[in-house]
Amino acid sequence: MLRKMNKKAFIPSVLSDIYSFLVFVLIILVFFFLFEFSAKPQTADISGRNDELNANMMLVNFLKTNIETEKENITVSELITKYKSEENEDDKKLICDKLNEIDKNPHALLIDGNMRCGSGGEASPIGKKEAIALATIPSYGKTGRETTKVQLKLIKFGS
Amino acid sequence: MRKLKKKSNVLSILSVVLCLLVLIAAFVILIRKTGKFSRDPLGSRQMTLLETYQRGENALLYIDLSAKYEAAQSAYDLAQNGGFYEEFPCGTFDGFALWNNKTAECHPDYKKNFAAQFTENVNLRFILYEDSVIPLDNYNNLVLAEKENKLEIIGGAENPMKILVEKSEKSKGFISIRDLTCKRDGVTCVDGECSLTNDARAALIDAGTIAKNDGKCLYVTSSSRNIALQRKLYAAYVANPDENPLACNPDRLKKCPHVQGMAVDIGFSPHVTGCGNKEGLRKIMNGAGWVNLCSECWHFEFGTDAQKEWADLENTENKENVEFYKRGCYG
Repeated sequence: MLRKMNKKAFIPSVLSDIYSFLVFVLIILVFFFLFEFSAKPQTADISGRNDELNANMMLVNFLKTNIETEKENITVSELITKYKSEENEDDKKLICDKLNEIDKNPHALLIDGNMRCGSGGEASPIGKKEAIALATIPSYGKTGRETTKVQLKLIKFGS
Repeated sequence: MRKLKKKSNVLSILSVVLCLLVLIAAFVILIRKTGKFSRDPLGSRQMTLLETYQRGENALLYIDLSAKYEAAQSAYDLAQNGGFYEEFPCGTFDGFALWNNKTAECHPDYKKNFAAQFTENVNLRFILYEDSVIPLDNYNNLVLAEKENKLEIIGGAENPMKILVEKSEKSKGFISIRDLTCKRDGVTCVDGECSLTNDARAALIDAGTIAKNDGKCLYVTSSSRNIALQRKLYAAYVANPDENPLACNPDRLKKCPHVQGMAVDIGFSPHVTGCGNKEGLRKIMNGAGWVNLCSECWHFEFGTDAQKEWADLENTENKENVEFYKRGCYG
């Protein structure tokens, strides 16, 4: 019984199997190329900016730091305010020395964009590898109430 | 058996069709998933949040220091006025406040007067702060307590300070105009921001070319602004409209031209003291498609509704008879 049936149905069944197989392979191939060539590589920039946040925190903490002077206990920000409003050059120098005691690098902390304590000249342009933090503090000037911008420059590590 | 074979044929065909359907579905789903990255680097939004927090910390430092300085200043100011803030109930003599007169004793309520003087003084400090808007009249409930021969002042803010998490200038699509020079482009920027939309930048370069051919240079003194700066300018205008130029309120009008990067304040000089040759400036800017605000000779817009309306007149007949077109300014 089986043999008879096999003989009759052998060719069409094999043919339909082969066609199905071929169609299947064809489909797989078509989709392989579709997936392969429709996928375009996309790029997105990733930049490390951790240093900038650290610089900001460092600057705020630094400005809040207490300093003991002969007369009183004041913070660094108040010392900078005094430095800005002081007209007497000798007193200004004294404040400068105090600031230098706390922060040794005059290129790191800039007051209103200038290097402090008469180190000379304008601040160098900001390099790519420098993290910048900026804070505004109240101060007094010739016109009365003013603000002073304090900048902290840090050399970035890594790229 | 024939039936069986038929079924197996159907199965193999069905398998192929199913496979085809699955692959088509997978393809469609995957194609939809390939959304583009934004122009900003990955994590920019999160970084902006952290930066906003830092801005808040900076503002708090400024507020703390302002309060400290102005507490001392307020004590000094009050002492100058005999302890009174504004009113002198017993009058004055030779410029000095009296604490009594023939009919009454008028000793100052130092806590109340100090609070009023302090509020006025810190307000003057807060207005100067540029990075964000510090609310004014926000420390009215001051608590003054005497402690070991010292006066302790405790002030809690009535309303919280709001700092908007703003998109970066780059993500707004603004392009820098800082590279433009008088010598090469006939226009330069002396503003802090120095950025505009791409179209406005191109139109500014056109204006610069016209100016350069005329032997002149245009100075941009203000271009795109962040909302904080716009708010500050609006607050200054409201406080003193006679001395400060008209400023758009960014909280009411969502289309402030400077905030949208579609406006410049410009002149023949880097100092905003006037426009100089008002008509000459308007002619150059109109020539490049910019429209002027009639009440402010230095303010020009490109890409705003007013400018588009004005530019559309270019294509109309008898445009020379249209007053708005002839004037080249609106408002």
